[in-house]
Amino acid sequence: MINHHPPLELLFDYAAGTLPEPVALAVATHASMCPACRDEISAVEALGGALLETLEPVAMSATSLDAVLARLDEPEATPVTVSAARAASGVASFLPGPLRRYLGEVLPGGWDRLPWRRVTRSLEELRLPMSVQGFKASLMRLAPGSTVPVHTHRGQEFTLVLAGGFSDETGEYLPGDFACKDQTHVHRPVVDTDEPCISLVVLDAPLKLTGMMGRLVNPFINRM
Amino acid sequence: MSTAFVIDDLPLFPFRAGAQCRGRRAAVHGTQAGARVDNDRLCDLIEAVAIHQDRKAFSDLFRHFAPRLKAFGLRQGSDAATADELAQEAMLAVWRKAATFDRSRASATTWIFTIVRNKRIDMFRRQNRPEVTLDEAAEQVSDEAPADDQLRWADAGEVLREVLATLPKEQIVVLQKAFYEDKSHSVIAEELNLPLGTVKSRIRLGLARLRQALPEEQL
Repeated sequence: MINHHPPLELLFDYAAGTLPEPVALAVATHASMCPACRDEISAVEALGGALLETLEPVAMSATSLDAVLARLDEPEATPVTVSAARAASGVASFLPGPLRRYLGEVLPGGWDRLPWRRVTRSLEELRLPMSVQGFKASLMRLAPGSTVPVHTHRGQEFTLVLAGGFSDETGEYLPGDFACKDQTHVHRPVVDTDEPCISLVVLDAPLKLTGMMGRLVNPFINRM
Repeated sequence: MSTAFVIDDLPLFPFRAGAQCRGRRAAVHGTQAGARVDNDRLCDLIEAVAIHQDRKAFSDLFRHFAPRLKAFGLRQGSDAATADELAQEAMLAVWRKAATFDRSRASATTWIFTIVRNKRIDMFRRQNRPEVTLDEAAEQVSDEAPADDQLRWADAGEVLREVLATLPKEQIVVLQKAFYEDKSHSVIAEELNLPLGTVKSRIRLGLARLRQALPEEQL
């Protein structure tokens, strides 16, 4: 049961197509795990369709239909994506669909086979390539029972739990749960003790760590 | 509900329509006002493109949708040539992706909206669009009933249009900006000189009204 969802405005902006790619990735991945949010997105898309019908049509250029008809048999510039083919073949099926295209040629074998980069003793990270600047999107793997240094945020931080879980002042977060923090939050997540916690973390500005430990770790995490 | 209506600029086609459609829309809402867009007919045209690569059907879809897609492009601030190009690219995507259309999950217009939305992201933002998927990784997490969550929106177009007509103007303005002008909530708030919370609540209210308007039997 998913208890923590993206706020409605994020679902709305995702459905309207106005979110930057990294935030859209977090929302799409959550929605792939959450029927309730899929429904919310469908509602907004239906609204988008209804609004489209209310627009006064504007005449197309005279040659436009012929121009498009002439292109119908062109081969597609971007054929069905590799990720779609991979998804169909079941490779990397432990990953929710939206994440697959970002992880290259991942072999089956679960989370351990991903090319993690160690940041601290308890934290490993895997940066995801994004087509937009100013954001950082990563998979983060935190050791069982570890704590994340107390930190606030200069911008917004979106966290989607993929495996394991953590708790903070706002509750318990398990796979599918979505956390949304900004500069008004100071929080101290504690990872559940039985297994590592793997999350998709999207930052729209570098973290600002506040504690003593934070000052030590900051240079490592604070890479945009 | 008349069966012999001419829809906008669409010629009347001897389609198999109605018969295999679930016909819920007609049953639930009898308020057919004038020359309404007929979703069943548009669905048939998209399926004719998907199954038979039917160029005649595609041309009909083009005549109906392209001018609306161009209007969509103009609303977001493009010049006429760029808006024309957006509409053409979106229609080309309609041809290529027609097989992914599922009339039980979305109305024709809603599907077209998602196509032009993605084309806009592609053309103007030059970003990838992460798409929601339904797959086995998700299944492990979800213990709720899968799948049918989109059904009730497929036939909702008529209701949505009726409710839209009753929404206060300030809600419509916010919704239109959000959809057409490619702006996030916070940018809209700045432009309208409103607190972000007000923009959020207007959108929430708008969506809540739409939800209330959906008949229970569609749940």
